[in-house]
Amino acid sequence: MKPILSIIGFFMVLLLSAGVTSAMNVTAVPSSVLVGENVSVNVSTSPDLASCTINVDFDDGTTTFVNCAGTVPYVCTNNLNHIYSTSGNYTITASSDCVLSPTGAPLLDVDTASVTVTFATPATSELTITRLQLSFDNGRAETTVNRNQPGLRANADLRFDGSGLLKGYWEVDGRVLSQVNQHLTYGKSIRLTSPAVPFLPTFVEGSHRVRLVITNPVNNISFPEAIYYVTSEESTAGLAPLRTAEPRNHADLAFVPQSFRWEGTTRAAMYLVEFFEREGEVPVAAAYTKGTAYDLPEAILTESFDSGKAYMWWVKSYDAEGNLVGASELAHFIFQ
Amino acid sequence: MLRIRLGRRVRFDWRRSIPIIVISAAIAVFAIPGWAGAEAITFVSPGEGVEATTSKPPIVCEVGIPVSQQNMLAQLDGIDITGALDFTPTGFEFKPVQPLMNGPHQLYLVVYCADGSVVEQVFSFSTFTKMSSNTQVSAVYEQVLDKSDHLTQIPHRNFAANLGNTTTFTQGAWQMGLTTNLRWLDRSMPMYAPEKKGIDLVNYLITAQYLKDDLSLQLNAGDLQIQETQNTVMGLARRGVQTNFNYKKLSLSGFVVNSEQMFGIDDGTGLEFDTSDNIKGVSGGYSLLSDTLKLRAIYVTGAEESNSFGIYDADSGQREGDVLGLLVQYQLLEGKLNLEAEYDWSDFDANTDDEFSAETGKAWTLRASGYAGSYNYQAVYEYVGPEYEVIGNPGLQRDREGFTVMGGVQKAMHGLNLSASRYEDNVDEDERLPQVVATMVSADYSFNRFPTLPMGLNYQKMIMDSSMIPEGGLPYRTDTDMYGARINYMAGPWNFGFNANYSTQNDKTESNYDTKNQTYSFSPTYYAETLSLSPNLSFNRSTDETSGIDTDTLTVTLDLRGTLYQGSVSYEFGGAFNQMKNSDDTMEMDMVNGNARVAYHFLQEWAGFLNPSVGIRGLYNRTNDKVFDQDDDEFALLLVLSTSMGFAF
Repeated sequence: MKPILSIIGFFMVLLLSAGVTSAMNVTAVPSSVLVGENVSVNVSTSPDLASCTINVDFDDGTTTFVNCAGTVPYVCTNNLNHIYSTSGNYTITASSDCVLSPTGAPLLDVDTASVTVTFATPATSELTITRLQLSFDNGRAETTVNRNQPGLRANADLRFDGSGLLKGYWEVDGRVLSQVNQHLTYGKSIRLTSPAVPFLPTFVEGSHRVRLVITNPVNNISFPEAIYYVTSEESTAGLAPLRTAEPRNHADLAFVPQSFRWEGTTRAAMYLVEFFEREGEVPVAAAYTKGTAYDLPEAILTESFDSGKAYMWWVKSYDAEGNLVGASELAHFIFQ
Repeated sequence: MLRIRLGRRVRFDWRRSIPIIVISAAIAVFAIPGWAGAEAITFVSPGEGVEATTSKPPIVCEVGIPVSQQNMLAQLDGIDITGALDFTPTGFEFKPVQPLMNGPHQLYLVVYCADGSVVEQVFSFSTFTKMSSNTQVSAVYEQVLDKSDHLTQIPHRNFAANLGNTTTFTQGAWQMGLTTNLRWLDRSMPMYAPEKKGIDLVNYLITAQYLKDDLSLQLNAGDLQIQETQNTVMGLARRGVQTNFNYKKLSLSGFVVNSEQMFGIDDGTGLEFDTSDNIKGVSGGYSLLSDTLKLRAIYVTGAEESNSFGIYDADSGQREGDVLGLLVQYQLLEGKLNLEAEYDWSDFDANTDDEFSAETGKAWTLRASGYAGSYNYQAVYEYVGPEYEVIGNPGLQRDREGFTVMGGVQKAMHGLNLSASRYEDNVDEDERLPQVVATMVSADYSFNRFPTLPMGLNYQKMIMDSSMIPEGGLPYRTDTDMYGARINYMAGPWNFGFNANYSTQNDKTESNYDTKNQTYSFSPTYYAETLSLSPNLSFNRSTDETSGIDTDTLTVTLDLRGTLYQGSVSYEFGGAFNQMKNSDDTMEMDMVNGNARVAYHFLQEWAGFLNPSVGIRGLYNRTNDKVFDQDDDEFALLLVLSTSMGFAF
């Protein structure tokens, strides 16, 4: 009989100890947060308890309690929110003076959860992409171009936290167009532009989808798409470059009539030369000419230009129907 | 329509369409001995005071003496057209290249006579085109001839048609316009959103403009881009309605746009404004002191969802808020000193679904910039408060204060741009958080001695360093150095470009996650009228200094286009080869893709304005994962029929 009682006693102890160890539970989500961020703490008990109070110590000098009164015979469970104001490793401790129901046995249990609080700010966080917006030159994620139109490029405006090495690639219709590898440092948002060579392919008519796929940092991002549509109408703009020749870029010129020259293209029937004081403004002077040079007349020089000022100029070419077929880059000069 | 800032003789701005200052309706002639002057120059077409009903009226003059480019100057609306004139035995002719804007025009002529005398003469005429329209219709049909069984993304049949239209209509002082693309898509498999099968109005812009004397009124509806100020709304491209009112020095504008970026009209025209899903704003400006002093106030309010077409945002939920901005701009010393100050207040709720209410914030910017000859400079001081956020401008970085100074000089042989900046976060110096100071210096040098051989170097250093570290915290410090070099050689249709970039990021925190990145690219391009070839060879190595692992990426791309037989045959190829490899052999992969098309264009008379073509297109993709020993390739061969038509009046 004695051995049987011993075995029964042993199993009772096991049962009670098992019940005690599983009676109190505390979890903290997330287990790693930034200073000022909320930690969600869940305190629960099982099995059923009689009326009691669970004390919760957040390990930062603050405590609270959960009153399980009225929960009987249900499991007592409570969600608490807590914000840590300083960094460090914290142990959240839940303890109680509860008694088990229906035996009335005391529940002398303690459970803990750990929380690591760091002081990272957006600047000191790991590199994370927080916003990605695609657009074309019209500012929208959609554009329509003619077939073989040169120079089509997409823009990606990125906002990010942290600093690090950004890796990814531009993709058109699921095919890699070019790689992107660039160190980013926290600050203003940046704009990445798809490459000039090769620019987005425009020889296949129909809809095409562009994405910037980022492989580092690894983010669970549904990368947005931009759509461009290529019509069957051939682009009048040629790929052949239109380059200014003289005067040399950033030349200092005497304030006398000057000759402006460029390299011609066979498709051009007419050229338009425009002079600017500042980029984006209305030209101070302009001229149409059929040749590949423009001799600035003295009358226009003295009317529209000033000595000592810096100017810019470019040339555009038109075909016989008046379609724009080329444009040079802006070149700078100064009239002394 | 070309506009030009005229010389001191006559100045006006076509954009505002202020009625032309007609120098004189009467002919001003300084008669010279031996030549009848005014009587000898006849304005044949369109004729003095005549209103032409076409936007490109031929301009014909008869001159009593032989004229050429050497002895005359002709300006149309201030643009020198002397070099574009066709000289005839009786005078000259000119056919405008670009359409002339509706309204009055001025033809100014100067003839230099053999005896050294000069004759000046001004003619005036006007153009009025009640309606003009340009429509392009194009369609393409693709039919798979053969393809890999597992290539499921390519539909067996694919049809796409687009109608693009630009129309303007003028009635009195009103001008109305429409720009749109109407599209029809169909294919033998489902379409991916936001595109859909069937017809859709992909984009549109309707404009109405009223111009009279000093008054202009403009109303735009459709796909707009809103530009206000840096700290309010800048570059907001959405669908909605915008109106602008200008009277002398006063300007007023207002807009209401859908906060979601839209594609097509499947979900509505974009003009149904739900109060919980739009952004609206008003602004007013006034110019003083000959337009050198400009004052502007902006107010924007609304709500927006974080994600829509073309946009990913990590923050989810509905946001709402408003912002009030004041802007003052003052130009001094003819551009040598431009001053700008902006002050803004915002009220912003980052998530209307949570228990936190809206926060108020402020931002301000002071800017001085200018240029003098070949020198230019800019200095900016900015403050953006920790709670300052704006609807419609989510790219704005908050909790930031600091300055940037920039200076540049461009000479015939040398160009140099320098900049330095210092910004800090945690601007309210919250003791619970560290403060990180970002200091940046950069230099860019270009050597322009040889016009066909431009080259340059650049360097940038960025230091991020923390202070005010809370108890128990660790300091933060990263140094980033970026070096770059570029050189091009241009010879006729050839352009050889070489770029090299090298950067390191030294993580001085405990994690010591140092990285290195180097990229070298070479692109010898050839662009001619009937053939263009633009290959690019690029190699990148990024190194994780902590693990010592290199990741190498080799990319070779080729874009080839050309025509044969006077354009009756066209051929194009676009392809890329990518090879990626980790030095620890955990990854090694090759990817090849190619897309080629050959087409025959029917240029014969029977084809008329249909511009039909028939072609063959081929696709090839191959991915070879050498680590997991997976080698997949796929191909497709398609028949392509296309046509395009243009109508204009």
